[in-house]
Amino acid sequence: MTNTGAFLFILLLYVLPFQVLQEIAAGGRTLPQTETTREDKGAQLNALISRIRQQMKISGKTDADTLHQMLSVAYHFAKENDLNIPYQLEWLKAEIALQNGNYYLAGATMEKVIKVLETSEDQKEMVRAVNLYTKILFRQGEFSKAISLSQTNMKRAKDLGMTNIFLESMNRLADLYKTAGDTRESKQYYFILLDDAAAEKDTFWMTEALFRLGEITGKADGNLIEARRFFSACLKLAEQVADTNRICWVLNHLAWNLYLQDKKDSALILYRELISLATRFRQKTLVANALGNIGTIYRDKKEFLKAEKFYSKSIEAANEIRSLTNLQWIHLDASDMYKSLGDYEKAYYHYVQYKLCNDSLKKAGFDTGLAEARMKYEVDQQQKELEVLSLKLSQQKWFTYASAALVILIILVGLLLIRQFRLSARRRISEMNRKIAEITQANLRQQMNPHFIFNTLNSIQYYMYQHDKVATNTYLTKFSSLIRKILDNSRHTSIPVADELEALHLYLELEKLRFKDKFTYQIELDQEIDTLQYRIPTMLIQPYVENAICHGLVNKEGPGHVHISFAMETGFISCIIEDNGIGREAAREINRQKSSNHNSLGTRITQSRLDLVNTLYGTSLKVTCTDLKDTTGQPGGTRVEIHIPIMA
Amino acid sequence: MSELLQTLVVDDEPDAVNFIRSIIIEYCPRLEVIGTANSVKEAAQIITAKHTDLVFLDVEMPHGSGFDLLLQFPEKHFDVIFITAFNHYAIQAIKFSAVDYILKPINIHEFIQAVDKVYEKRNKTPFREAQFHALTENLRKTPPTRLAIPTSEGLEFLNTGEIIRIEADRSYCWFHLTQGRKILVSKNLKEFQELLNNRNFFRTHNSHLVNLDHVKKYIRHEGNVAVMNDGTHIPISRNKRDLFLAMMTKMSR
Repeated sequence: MTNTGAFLFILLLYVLPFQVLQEIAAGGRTLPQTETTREDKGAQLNALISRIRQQMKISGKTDADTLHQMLSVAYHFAKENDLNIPYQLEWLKAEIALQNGNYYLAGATMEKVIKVLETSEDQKEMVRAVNLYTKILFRQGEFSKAISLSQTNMKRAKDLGMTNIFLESMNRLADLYKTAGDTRESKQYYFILLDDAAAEKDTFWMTEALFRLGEITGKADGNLIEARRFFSACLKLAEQVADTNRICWVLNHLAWNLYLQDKKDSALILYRELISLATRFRQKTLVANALGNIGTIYRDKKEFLKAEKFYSKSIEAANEIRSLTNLQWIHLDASDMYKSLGDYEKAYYHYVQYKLCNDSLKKAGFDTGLAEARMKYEVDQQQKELEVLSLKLSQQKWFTYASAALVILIILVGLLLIRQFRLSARRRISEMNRKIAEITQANLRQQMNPHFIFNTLNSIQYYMYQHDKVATNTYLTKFSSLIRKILDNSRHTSIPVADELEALHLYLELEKLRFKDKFTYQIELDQEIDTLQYRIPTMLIQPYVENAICHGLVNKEGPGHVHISFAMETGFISCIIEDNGIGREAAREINRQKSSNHNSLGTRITQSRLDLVNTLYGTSLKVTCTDLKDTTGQPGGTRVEIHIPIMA
Repeated sequence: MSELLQTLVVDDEPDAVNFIRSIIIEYCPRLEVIGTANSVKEAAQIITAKHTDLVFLDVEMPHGSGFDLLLQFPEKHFDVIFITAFNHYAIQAIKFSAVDYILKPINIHEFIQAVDKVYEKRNKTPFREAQFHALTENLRKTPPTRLAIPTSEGLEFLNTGEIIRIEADRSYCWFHLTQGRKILVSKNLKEFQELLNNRNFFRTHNSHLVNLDHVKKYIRHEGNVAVMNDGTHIPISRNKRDLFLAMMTKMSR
C-alpha cells in the first residue's frame, strides 16, 4: 500500500467508528427529551446498519474488533429502544462472523435470517441470503448440504434473473465439488460456468472459471498442456479487461506450469515478467513467491549462487508482508538445497525457520476456524462421497422417476422373458424326459439281450439236470444279481463307476460260464479313480463288451481275451475295451452271411444315447474304434476307446 | 459252543420256507429249526411260546412286514437275519442299521456266511434293541438317517447330520462329529463311503470323506482346501476339485 492508502486505512479504522459511536450516543441521550417515534428509531437503526455495511466494504478483513464494536452498539441500540432486531442486522452479524472465521455463529445467524425471509415476499433477498448461507456451509465443511442448497438456489437465481448470484452459485458448486475431491464433477461445473458467463458476457466469472479449470487440469489431472491452454485463455481475457490482479496470478501459474514441464528457462522469463508486473501492482505475495521460485529453478539448474541470492531476496520480500505460506516453502526448499550442498548449518537454520512458519500457519488455521472445518471435512470424508452421489440423484427427481419406470419396464420384460423361457424350458425338459425314458427302456432291452437271458437260463437248467446243487445255486444267484443290478442301475441316468464295474464283472462271469472258458477277461482300474464318487452314464460300456465277446471272440478259434481298462485323465475317464478277436471286418462278413441284422440295433441305440448324454449334460462323450493288427499284419482284434466325462 | 441255536423261519411262501429249512439241515449243523411260519401273526405266536435264538425273516409279506414282528418284541433278545427279494429302500435301511440280510434267490455261500456271523457276534452285541430302534427309524425315513457304526464298545448310532467328516487311519477311520466329538471305528473308509454315497458326503481325498453340509468355505490357493465347520482344513485332491465345486454349487441352489 502507498502512504496515502495506509493513511486512509488507519483513518477509517479509528475515525469512522468513533463518529458512529458518537451518533448513537447522541440518539440515546435525546430519547427522554424529545418524543421520537418508533419509526424514527427504526430509521436510525437502519442507517446504522448501512453504516456498518459501508464500513465493512471499506475496511476488509483486518479490523474485526471495530466491526464487532459497531455491531454490539447496534444491538444495544435496538434493545434500548425496544426495537425488533431487523434481519439485515443479523445478516451483518453473520457476515462479520464469517469474516472472522466463526462459521458456526455465522451459520446459525443466517438460518435465523432465512427463517425471517421465508415469511416475506422478497424472493431476491431470499436468494441472496441463501447464497451467503451456502458460502458459510461450505466453510463449515457441510459439503453435501451446501451442494444441494447451491443447486436449488442457483435455479431460483436464474429464474429471477439474478445473473451474478447464479454465476456465483455455479462457481460455488464447482468449488464445493473440487474441495470434496470430485474433480470430474467440479470441472463440469466450471465448464458450465464458463459457458454461462460467456453468454452473459461476464468476464469476471469467465476468467475465474478458466483459472480454476487451469488449476484443476494441472493439479488433479496432471495434464499440464491443457492446463496451460486454460491459463493462456484466462490471461488473454484478463488482459482485455486489464484485470491486473488476475494477470499476475495467471502468470504465476503459467510459470509454475512451465517449471513442472521442465521448461526452466521459459519459466524463468515468465517469473521475471511476473515480478515486474506484480511489483507495479503491489502484489507482494506474488513477488515473494516468484522470487522463491526463481531461486528453486536456479537450485535445480545447480546454479547455487544465484539460487542463494533469489532465496534471500524472496525471504526478505515475504518477511516484509509476513507471508507465512511463502516463507514456509521457501525455507524448506532452501534447507533442501543446503543439505544437498552439505552445508548442514544453513540447512538446519532454514529448516528451523520452516518449522516455525509451519507451526504458526497451523495455529493461524486453527484461529480462523479453518482447521475446524478441515477436521469436520476429514470426519465426513467417507460419508461425503456417498452423499454427493445420492444427492446427484435426488436433485434430479425426474431422473429418479425415469429410472424407476425403466426398472419396472425391465422387470416386466424380464418376467415375460422368464415366463417364455420357462415354458420353452418345460417343453424342452418334457421332451428330454421322454427321450430319457425311451433310452432307459432301450438300456434294459439292450442289456437283457434275449439271447443272453435264455442261454443263461438254459445253462442253469443243465446244471440242475446234472444235480450239481452248488453250481446251480452259484450260477442262478449270479444271474439274479446281474438282473438286480441292471434293474437298479436303469433307474438312474448316471451311476457311480463302482456300479457299472459290478454289473460288468457279473456279466463277464456269466458269459464265461456260458462259453465254457472260451475267453478270459481282465478289468484294470486306475487307482486314481474314486469309483464311488465319479459317476458315468448308466450302462454305457456293457454293449461294447458284449460286441467284443459275441462278434470278436466267439467266432475266433482258440482262446480269446478281453481287456478292459479305466484310466483317469484330466476331466474325463478313459475306458479302453480291447479284444483279440477276429476284427470288425470279419465279423461283419459273418453277420452278412447270417443275413440277420439283430445287432445293428445295439450300436444305433448306443449312438443315440451318446448324443443324448452329450446334450443333457453338455459333455463331450467320445467313442473311437480302432482295428488292431497282429504281428503278421493280419486283423487281430478291435479296440474301443471311450472318453467319459466326469459327471457331478 | 455246543448248544444249538433255536431257529425260526418266517416267509409267506411255503416253498421259500422249505428251501431255507433244507439249506439249514444240509449246511448249518449248529442250527435247530424249532418252527416255521407263513405270516407275522404265526411267527409271533411261536416266539411267545418258545425260546428263540435266531429268526430268518422275510421283509415283504402280505399281512405286515417282517419289521412289524420286531416291533412286537422290543425286549426279546433274538438275532435276526432278514431275507429280501428286491426292495431298494428296505435294503438301504438295513445296511444303515448294520443288520444282517441275505438276498433272494439265496446264495448258499452267503447264507452260511451270515449264519457264521451270527455266531461270531452272539453275546457280544448287547445293542440289539438299540439297533432295532435305529432300524425302525431308518425304515420310516427315506433316505435313512441313523447310521450304525461299530466302535470298541459295540455299536453306536449317529445322525448323519452330526458327522462333519470321516478320516481314514489305515484300515480304521475317525469320525469327527459336531461338538468336537471324535470316534475311532473299526471299519475302513470305503465302507462308509458306500453307505453315504449320494448323501451329500464327498470323498475329497484318499483319506477324507466330508459332509458337504458342514463345509464352511473353499480356499483355492494353498492347493485347494475345504474348511469345515470345526475349523479343520481338508485337502481336496486335484482330480476332485471340479466335481467338488459342482456339488457345492448344486447344493447351494
